[in-house]
Amino acid sequence: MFGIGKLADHIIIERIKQGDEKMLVYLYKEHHTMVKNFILKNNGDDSAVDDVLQDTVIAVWKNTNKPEFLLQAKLSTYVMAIGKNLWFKELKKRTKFKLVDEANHLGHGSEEMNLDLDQSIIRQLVKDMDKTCGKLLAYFYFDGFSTKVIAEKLGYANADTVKSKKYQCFKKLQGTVLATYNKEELL
Amino acid sequence: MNKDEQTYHSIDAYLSGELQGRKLDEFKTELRTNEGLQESVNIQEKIISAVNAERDKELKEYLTGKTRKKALQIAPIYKTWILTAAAIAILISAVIILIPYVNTTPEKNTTAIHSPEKTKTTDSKVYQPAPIKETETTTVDTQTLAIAEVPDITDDTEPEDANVILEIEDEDEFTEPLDEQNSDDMITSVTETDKTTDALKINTPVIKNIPPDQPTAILKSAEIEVRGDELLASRRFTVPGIEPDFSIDATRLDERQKDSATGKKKDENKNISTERENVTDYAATSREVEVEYWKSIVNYKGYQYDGSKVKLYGIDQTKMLNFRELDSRLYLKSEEKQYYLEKNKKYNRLVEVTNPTLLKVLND
Repeated sequence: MFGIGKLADHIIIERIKQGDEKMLVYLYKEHHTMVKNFILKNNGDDSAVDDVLQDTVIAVWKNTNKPEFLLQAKLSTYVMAIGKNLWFKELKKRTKFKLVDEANHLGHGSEEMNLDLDQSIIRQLVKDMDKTCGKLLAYFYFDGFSTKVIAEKLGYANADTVKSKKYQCFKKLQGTVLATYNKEELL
Repeated sequence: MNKDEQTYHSIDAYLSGELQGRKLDEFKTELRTNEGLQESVNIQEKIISAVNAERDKELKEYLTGKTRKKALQIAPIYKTWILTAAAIAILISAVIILIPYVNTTPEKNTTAIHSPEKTKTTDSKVYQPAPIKETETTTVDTQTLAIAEVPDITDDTEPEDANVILEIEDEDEFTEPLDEQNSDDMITSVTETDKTTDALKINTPVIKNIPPDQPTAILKSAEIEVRGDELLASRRFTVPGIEPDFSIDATRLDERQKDSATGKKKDENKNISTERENVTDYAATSREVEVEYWKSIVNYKGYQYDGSKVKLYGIDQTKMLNFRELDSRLYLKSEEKQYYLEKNKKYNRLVEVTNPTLLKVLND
């Protein structure tokens, strides 16, 4: 894959914890065939494979960075278990699609649309914010990296600095969001 | 750390599920009553959710770029290699196919002349298309064999190898007429045919009597005759089996039997019975063999023996022949020479027996 052949499970876990994003690609390619075969055997098609596999790999990435994470089986078994769960969820979603569609027709969808609108506005603000701040918040909230790792990745002195910076970045973003909403309300 | 920062960290802990125990209870109680806190939790939750969604999107884009990008890059490289390999393969095969045609372009005229459709034959002896495939094979086989032995097709009368039976200098010895041979005890029936087998009539033209110095001229001539092997005659020969103690005749056996009746030992009786069996065996082993005389188109001299029929090639049918069988092997006597006939489906040359002991037994 990266000129180093197959990696041991504990090395992959360690690299994920260190925030090595190449491991995402490695996991994706290593488990592509397995996940694909499973999906194709379970009422799926090729178009679903990429989405499910991406979600699977990202879920593994996030779970691995949780403090309570402990791998008790082979990593491939764990990845496949997550992949299977995600695919079954997707199948359930597809079967419930009609019911949701009917609910939207009855007018329950208006509230959800407002939420979606809020989400898209805030996401745009997140995208526009300072890159380092955006990374800091993403590393903390999404990836679940420890403050130590974040400090190493972003070049901060220590974990306390990261905590302090995180608060500052968040407050900045919150201020922008509130200001935007006030403007919207004014408009 | 000011109060606002503390609230932020408390909300963070509550939303991430890290807040537990009494602190969690206190926070929940506060949340029920404090509208400002409710709003702060709501906004913070939305912002975290947006941050997560954006990061999720970013990672997915990264994955897509890394996985599909390589596939797109690899595909044209493979395509180029495959196309190059295919082009080379086509070129090589084209060269291989075309080389023979390029070298043999002048022979096109020969092929055209040899075409059976264009060859008109008026001679009654010229061979017609042969429907029987088996006979065609026979013709081809002998010709091929003869060619392998380097025959001289320009001269039919040229003497050949010393081992071949028809190397005759003293012809007078075997120039008896056919009728005289019929009087021989060995010959039980004669079917002199002097016929050309219909089956030997073949379609493909073959060059007849080509002068070695003018092959091209012959090829260009309009009419080319095709000739195959020719069956001259067929006869049946009685083949006696040879036994070592054959000399004892029945009369002598009877005398011995009388002696044994007057009180000779039992051992002698055994011998007598064995000798009787020998006589009986001889009678049983005597059999008939069909012999065909063939004239090969390429003057091949030899034989083919399949166990019941002997095909002799290039041997004069008027010569006296004698067949004998010893230890289930067939021997041919001609011109005071003994030849061993091997039983197989191949075409063989006649091999003279040279073993003195065997010759003595065969000539007795």
